[in-house]
Amino acid sequence: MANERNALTDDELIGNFVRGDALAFEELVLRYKNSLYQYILVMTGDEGAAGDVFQEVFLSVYKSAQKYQPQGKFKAWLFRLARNRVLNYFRDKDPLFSLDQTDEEGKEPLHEILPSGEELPLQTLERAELAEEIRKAALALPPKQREMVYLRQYMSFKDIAQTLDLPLGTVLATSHRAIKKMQAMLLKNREVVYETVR
Amino acid sequence: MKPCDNLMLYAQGELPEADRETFRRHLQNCAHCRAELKFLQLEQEALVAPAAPAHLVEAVFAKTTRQSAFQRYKAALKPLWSGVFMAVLAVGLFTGGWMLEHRPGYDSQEIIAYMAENLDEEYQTFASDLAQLEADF
Repeated sequence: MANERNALTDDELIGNFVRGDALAFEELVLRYKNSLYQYILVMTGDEGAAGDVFQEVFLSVYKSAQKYQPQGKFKAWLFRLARNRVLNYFRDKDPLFSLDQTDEEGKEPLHEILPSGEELPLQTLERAELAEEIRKAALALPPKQREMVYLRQYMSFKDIAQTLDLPLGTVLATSHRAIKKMQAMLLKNREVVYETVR
Repeated sequence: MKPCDNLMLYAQGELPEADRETFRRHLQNCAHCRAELKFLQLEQEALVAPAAPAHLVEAVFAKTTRQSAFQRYKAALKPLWSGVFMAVLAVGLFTGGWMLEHRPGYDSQEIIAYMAENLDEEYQTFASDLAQLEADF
């Protein structure tokens, strides 16, 4: 039965849950717990707050599952719920807070961050060390770019556009800008970027 | 649109099939895109989501699908208690309003006259009590 649920789509699971199958809800929680928790944690930067928001989001899904329109967009709906909760968390502290705020560097033309075609210094790092550098760089990004980088790990650009209610072009441009900025940070911090494919 | 602009979509597996082969050919000739693609792969490995804390998942289940019978009973009664509270409040407000509307009337002049009439008698009683007290001492 567990395997059967595993094979169901999000929409089928939520439909079953609304019809009384409590385990269908648990399957949805298990399916998204890791990505959702990571997203909330990197956006709030606070483990305690992330735990609270994480629970609130799933409680909200539990209570308002009937409102969900099954159009194959459960993931976007779930992450939008999480995003709103994260915003509420920050607005409780600062009523003018916005995740969309862009820092000044974010407005710089890309060529000022990392000139196109620049020969990057190449040096092989231990994989684990490089992964740590990349994680640090991702967390150091301004909120909007950080959000884009992490959402890209869980969903397609199309889903990100739906979640954030942004045009696809904006999502692509912001993602590209975020990547360039991460590379620039790696360059600056370690004078090492990544090994090329040979 | 330059071929390099398709890199992100290609890396994400979202480039339409028709453009995928063209981009693969481009990759063979573009060292910059190859390096970028490698970075995106490393990034994907680095940012893989770790497991969410088990106690949080348990807490979600405990508050939803695995509620105890008492919790379910309490949750089911919650709207009922709210209704009862609202009903009691409404009755209280109505009764208070009715009593205010129908409170017994009084005539201030009558009360002043009554107090003036009885003042002397009360004073006499008080003076007598005082005299008795002094006498006792």
